[in-house]
Order: sequence, then C-alpha cells, then structure tokens
Amino acid sequence: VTRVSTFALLLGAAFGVLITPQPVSDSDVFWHVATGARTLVGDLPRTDIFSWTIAGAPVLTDQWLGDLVFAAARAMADWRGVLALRALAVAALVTIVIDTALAARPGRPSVAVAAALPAIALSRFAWTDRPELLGLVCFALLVRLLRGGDRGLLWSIPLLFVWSQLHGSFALGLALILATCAARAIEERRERWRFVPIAAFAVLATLLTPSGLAVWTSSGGHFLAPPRFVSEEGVPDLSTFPGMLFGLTLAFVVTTTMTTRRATLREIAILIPVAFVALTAARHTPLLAIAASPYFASRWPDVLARWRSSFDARATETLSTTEQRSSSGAARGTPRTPSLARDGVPGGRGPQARSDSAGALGRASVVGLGAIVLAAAIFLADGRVDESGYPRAALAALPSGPGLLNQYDWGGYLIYAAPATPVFIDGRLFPYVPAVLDDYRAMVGAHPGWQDIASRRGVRAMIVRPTDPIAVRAPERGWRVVYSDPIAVVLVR
Amino acid sequence: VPGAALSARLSLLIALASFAVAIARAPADPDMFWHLASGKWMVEHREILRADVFSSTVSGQPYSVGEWLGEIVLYSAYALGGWAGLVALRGILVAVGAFFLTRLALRGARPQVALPLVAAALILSTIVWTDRPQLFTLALFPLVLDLLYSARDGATRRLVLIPPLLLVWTDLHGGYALGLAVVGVFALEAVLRRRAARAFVTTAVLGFAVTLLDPGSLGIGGAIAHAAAPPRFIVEESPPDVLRPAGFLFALFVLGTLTAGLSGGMSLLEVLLLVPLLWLALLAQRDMPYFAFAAVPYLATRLGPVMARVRLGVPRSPFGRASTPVGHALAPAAALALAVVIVMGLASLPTAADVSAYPAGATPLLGGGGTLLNEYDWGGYLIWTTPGRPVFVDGRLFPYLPAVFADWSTLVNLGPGWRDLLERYGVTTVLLRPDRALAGALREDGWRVAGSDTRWVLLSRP
Repeated sequence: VTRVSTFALLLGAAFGVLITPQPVSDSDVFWHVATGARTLVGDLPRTDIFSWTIAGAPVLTDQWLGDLVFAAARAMADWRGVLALRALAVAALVTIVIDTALAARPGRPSVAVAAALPAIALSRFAWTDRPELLGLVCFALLVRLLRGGDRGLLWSIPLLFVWSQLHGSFALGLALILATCAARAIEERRERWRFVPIAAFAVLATLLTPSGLAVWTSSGGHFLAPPRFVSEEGVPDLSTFPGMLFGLTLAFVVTTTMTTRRATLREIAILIPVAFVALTAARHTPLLAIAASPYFASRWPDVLARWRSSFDARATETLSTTEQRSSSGAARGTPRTPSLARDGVPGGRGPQARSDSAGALGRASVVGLGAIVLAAAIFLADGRVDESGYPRAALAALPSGPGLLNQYDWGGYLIYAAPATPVFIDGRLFPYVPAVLDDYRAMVGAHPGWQDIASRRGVRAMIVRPTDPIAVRAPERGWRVVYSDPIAVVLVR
Repeated sequence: VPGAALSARLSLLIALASFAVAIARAPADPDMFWHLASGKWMVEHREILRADVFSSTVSGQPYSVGEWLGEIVLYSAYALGGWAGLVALRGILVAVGAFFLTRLALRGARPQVALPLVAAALILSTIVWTDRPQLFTLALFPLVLDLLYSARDGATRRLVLIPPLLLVWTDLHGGYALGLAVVGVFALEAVLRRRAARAFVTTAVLGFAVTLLDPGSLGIGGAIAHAAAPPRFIVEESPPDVLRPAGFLFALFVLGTLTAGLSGGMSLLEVLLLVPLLWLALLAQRDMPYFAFAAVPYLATRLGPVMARVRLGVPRSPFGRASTPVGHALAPAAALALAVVIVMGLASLPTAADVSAYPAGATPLLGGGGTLLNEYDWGGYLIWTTPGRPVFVDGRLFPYLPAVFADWSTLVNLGPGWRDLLERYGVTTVLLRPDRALAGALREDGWRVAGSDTRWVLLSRP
C-alpha cells in the first residue's frame, strides 16, 4: 500500500467536479434514501413498509449501510448532500483507479491515464446515486490492495467487512480475495498454509452483517438469475455505446497479451473471475475495466515517452558538438522522465530538487485547491431532483391508500413523492418475485386475464406510460382516464 | 503431437461421431420451412427468387436474403429423401465441420488436450445445427481455416482452393463474409510478417472478387450490416447470456483464451483472428461457435503450458499408448461401437419434422380469404404447410423491416393505434399464442374462436 499520488487526487477531483452538473434522478435512489432514513432513526426495516402488495413481508437488509449513508447525506444537505456524496465517490473511484495504474507503471502518468480511461468511461454509466457506486469504489480499492503484498491482503479483510454492509457486490470481492489466496498459495508453496486463515477471515467478514447468512441472497440472486428485463441487468450488448466500450476493453486485454511480459498468477486470479462476472450483466462491465487498468498500465508502451525520446534525438542531431552528441545519446538510451514524475508522482525517479517537507507542502496545497474546487462545484450545482422523467404532474390524480398499479420504473419515485399511496412494485424487485412481478407484467402487458388479476389484487387505479398496452386497453374496457400527459396516464376503475 | 495418419484417423472418428449425433434430431427450425419453400419455388420456376411470393403484406416487393444455392441444395435433399434426406444433409455438413476442426486442433497438440476442446466446441456449435443454409458456414469455416493454417505452414498451393470455395459459399449462406474476413486476416498477417505475402494477398483479392460475381447473393455490405446490427428481438441474434448453458460454454472458451493469453502470450495472427471473432460472438450468440472454432487450435497448443504453470499436469490419454495392449483393445472397440451407433442412427433417421412447436392443428382451419395475422415464429411453417394463405410476417425479416414489422409488433402488443392497423391491413383471421395481448382483446371484443389449444388460438372476425 503506497501513498496516493497528488496527480491521481487531482484527476479524481476533476471528475468529481465534472459529475456535479448531473442532477439526482436515479429511479432507485428514492427507495434507498427512504429505507436509510428509517435506519437513521434506529428502525432498520426488516419488513416491507412501502408497498401494499408485500406489506409486512421480509425484505433484504444487505445494503443497510449504503442506504444509511445516502439518507445521512440527504439529512445533512437535502438532495445536494446526495449529489455531494456521489461527487466524492466518483472522485475517490477515479483517484483509486488512476493511482493503481500509476503504481503499476511508476513515473509514467500518460500511460497510467490512458490505461485508466476504459475504467473511467465504462464506470461513468454507474455514477448514479446508489450504493452500487460505493461498491465500485470498494472494488477499485480491493484491486489496489490485492496487487500489493501481505499488508494489502490483510487490509482487504476490513475493507470486505465494510463492503458487505454497503452493497451486494462484496461477493465478487470475497471471490477475488479467495482467488488471490489460492494464487499466492501456488506461488509460495512452502508457506501456503498461511493463506488459509486469511481466506477464512474473509468469509467470516461477509457474515458479520445484520442479515447474517441472508446477505448472500441478494448477491446470489443478482449473479445467478439477474432480472434481464431490467436494462442494466441485461447481457452486455456491443451494439450499444457502453457495450462497445466493454468490447473494446475486452479486446484491449486480449491484445495486450501480445506484449512480451506475461501476466503474473495473481493478475490472472483477479482478471479471469472479473471477466466472467463482467460478461454476466451490463452493470458489471466496468469491473473488468477497473481490474484491467493496472494490467494495461504495466504492459502498454509509453508512446509519448518514445515520441519525446525520438524528438529529442532528432533535435540533438542538429547540433554538431561532441558534447551535444553525447547528450543526445543519453536521451535515446533512457526514456526521459516526465516532468510530473519530478513533481511528486510516486515512483518518479527524477532527481528531487526540493526537500521532502517542501514537496509535502506543495502536494497539500494542490490537493487542498482540488478539494476547494470540488466543494465549490457541489455548492454551485443544482441540488434539486430532476423529475423530468417521472410522473410529477400526475401525482395529484393518485388516490391515497392501497390499490394503485404503478409502472415498475416509477416505484421508487412514488415512495418518495407520494408516500400516502403505497406502491404495487418498485426497484427492490426481489421481494416481489415471482408472484407480484408476474401479475404486474400480465396487467401492464394487458395479457389475457388481466382484468381477473386486477380484481383479485384489488387494483382500483393505475399509473402507467401511454404506450403501455394496458393504457390502451383499460379505457376500452371501461376504466376512466383521470389524467393524461406524454409521460403518464392515470386510470381508475 | 500426432502424425498425419493418426490425425486423419482421429478426425474421421470425430466426424463420424458428430454425424451420429447430428442425425438424431428431427427437423424443427422455424426458418427451415421458408428456406425449403424458397428452394422449391426456384426449382419449380428455374429462376432465382427475387421478389416476395409468400406474404400478404410485402407481396411482389423485391428482396434478397442471398443463400439461393443453399436453399436449392436444402430443397434438393428434401426432394430426394424427404425429411430423412434433410437430416442426412445436416449430418454430412456437421461431420465435415467436425473433421476439419479436429484436424485444426491436432496441428500442434496431443489428442488428450485437443479432443476435449473439439468436443466442447462441437457441443457449443449444436445451437446452429439447424436445417438452414447456415449449416454450410458451419462446415466451410473450419475447412477454410484449415487450408489457411496449412498454407501458413508452407503448403501455399492449397490457397488455390479458397477462391472457388468462397464463390460457392457466397451463394450458399451469408456467412461467407466470415470466411472472407478470415482470409483477409491471414493476408494481413502474411504482409506484416513478410512471408508468402503475395500468395495470401492474391488469394484475398481473388476471394473478394469472386464474392461479387453473383447478383443473387447477399451483398458484402448487407452481410456486414446484418452482423453489425443484429435484430435483437430474434433470440439467436441476441448477445450471449453466459448464465445459460451455451453461453456458459462460450464463456469458458473466452476465459480459457484469456487465461492462455495472459499466461503464455499471443501471436499477431491469433490476436487478429480471435479479437474480431470474439466481437462478433458478443454481438450475436449465433456466432459463438466460430469464435470457439478459431480458439480451439490456439487453446490446444497453449493449454498444456498453462496447466503446467499451475502445476496441474497434462491428462493422460484415456486409451493409453497405442502400442499397449489396452490401447490395442480399446481403439477397435470404440470404432465398432461408433459404427453400431451410426448404423442404428441411419436406420432410424427421422422421417417427419418435429412440429410440436407449431400450430399444426390450426392449418386445416386456415381456408378463406382476408388477411391472416400470424405469430412471427410460425410464418415459415405456414408458408410451407398452407401455401394458399399468405402470411403477415415470417422469418425472412428483411422485407418486413421497418414498417410492417413495427405494425405487427403494435398489433400483437396492443400498442396505440392497433385498431386502425387491424382495419388498414384488413385482418380477418388471427393465429397467435393464447397469451398475446391481442388474442385476449379480440376475444373480449367478440371475435370467434375457430380453434385453439394450449399453444395457439385461431380467431376470426365476426
């Protein structure tokens, strides 16, 4: 584990600033915040309190800390607090990814940034206000730790403990720790038994949560049977832009194997499981790019340094003195150290002209400036929720109490915006599988028998999209349209 | 590494085993029927089918899916031997593919490493063992790859065979673009390596030229466009789902290739060959087998060193050394068992198509006029079994894009304006799955149920 580079911190802050114009709008943030708010007052919801279809039924508590963190952020500064949390998480993620790449290729910031670009570009689609983002930060940190020595491996256990409270993606973290232990046991056969307690503690760390063994339910469900109808849970599609980025990342990994230096067993132990997980669902694709960035950084040629080297060589050849020729030879023989390395990028081998204390002061000043700019960007950003994709204008037409059938994507929003009207279904999904989800799909799709299901369930109102089959069919069967706009239609029986 | 004779024997053995497995299934593919109908029309009219004659919605409109020769060959097999003839053709084409794939795998690896990989790739390829022109690509892709590897190893004269093969392939199936791309990759590598560059480049140029000769084929632009933007609502055109059996097997090939590459490196040719094929496979699952086929020779040569690195060791041959008594006894026994299986398979070749997925009970009820609105997947079956009743839509897809297919989707899913569309197309009969929203709505609206079972419902306008 090494010191985080100033360069990475600055770039991280820059990306944190860049994300602040994006307002809070994710459909799941609302139920995460609502759940966390209950936890914040000491009432961790173990049963459903938001819907009328599964009211009182057990719900998962696997992301309790993630929910709590988001709720706390909102409690402190309303939705601007949530935005600030996202900006900080993005800054941390980018910092860790670039710093890990820099650690893999000391003194070559241009290569490190290039190697981190696929991770930054792909993870961009997960820079949303959800615990998933915190899980990505944990994942990036774990990759950093596992590339270190014994100390990194040991630090990975407390990280895994925290991660298990934050988000279900911890399961991949555990798999990587176990795989790394196995790889190291193969590499260090004489001392292989010392990895057994580390692996055991890693497993134990995931079970010390309010959910106990049930913490695996969400992870297992998402991994083994991802709900494909949710777009982010669909398989990676290379005909889309994010899918294309993933395809390029995978292609880069394969192409990088052409380089002369082979991957270490530890690198393979990380990259192969992550590659498989990345193939399972679109939301997992950033993981491969994050895991591969240090591999790219350590293998890719430094095109910039070569260009500079050849440029220097050409320049010096124009000089005719013997001394100048000698200088040219030195430049050609050893790649020129980039100026940033001299300014404090870890591993930079250039001569240190300044004293350590002066360097530390300079770094602190730069980091402080970055933090100030990030804070200013958060302060200046629009701290309101972007409701343009939600049926805000239709809320007044909703009846209070149970009996509303709502669009799946709007469930979280309704939990936030219409607390008097419990939802039929929302983005928590798993508590609704299979019975409620099946009935929801049959009704919204106007499948044969939808009226019987509506009667059996006691549906007395609907809020759906105008293009949903039920929005077309229900009025034909006597349901009354009480509100309609291009976003939503409200129907009552 | 086995010698040429052992390699040939093993390849033949795998080919025969593949043949035995391939002929066990009855024909059932939904697209097979319209391919057969197209082939039949061309044989009967002695001309290439260039305009729609099967539908009510795009009747008379020009279109081309290429593959005219493939359709004629399929229909000829059917005309000669009925459904059994079609099954036999499938078996032969699969066997050809398996033979050359095994040859490829044994080029640089021991059988105990190569053959399990071949078996896995062939199992993965069963997703395209359907009675359609794509079977020709399944057979020709390993053949061309084998020729190219042989030429790269010095037998450049074999490149002479590639342009004629591409000429035929172009008219058999749109997958010829894949063959052309592979030839291009070898030519590029030859140029970069400066070895036999002239022979490979000439082959690539000639190969490209011959694919332009026939106007009845799917143009190279069309083939590339189809590969680049596959229609997602068709299952086989969707991206691979690695949590399903075939996708999982594909993922094993991907991860195996990655592991081998990370552990042992890759050559320029391997990267140039495998990266585009991986991309293609990730675009549409129907192309997964071609990545696996190309990965087999690479994995076969690299798996041994990888296993040694993690200290697993290379497995021993289950047959032992050929010279041992066990080897002598097992090899003929295996050959005899295979011969018995093949003879039994040939004796019980399926003589009828498997129509369990189709509305067979509805076809006698489809007389009368007016427009029929049918399930997309059943269009081909209806073309074949009820030629007097034109379909609304079918698996040929291209002629229906974008307007007719969008209208069909609006109709069956009760999209806004579905009633207007029903009138505009003059739909009088509807044959759909019972769980379709339209089926329920029309029943509620008083359309007459002319027939139904658990898989289909036939509705007539009152």
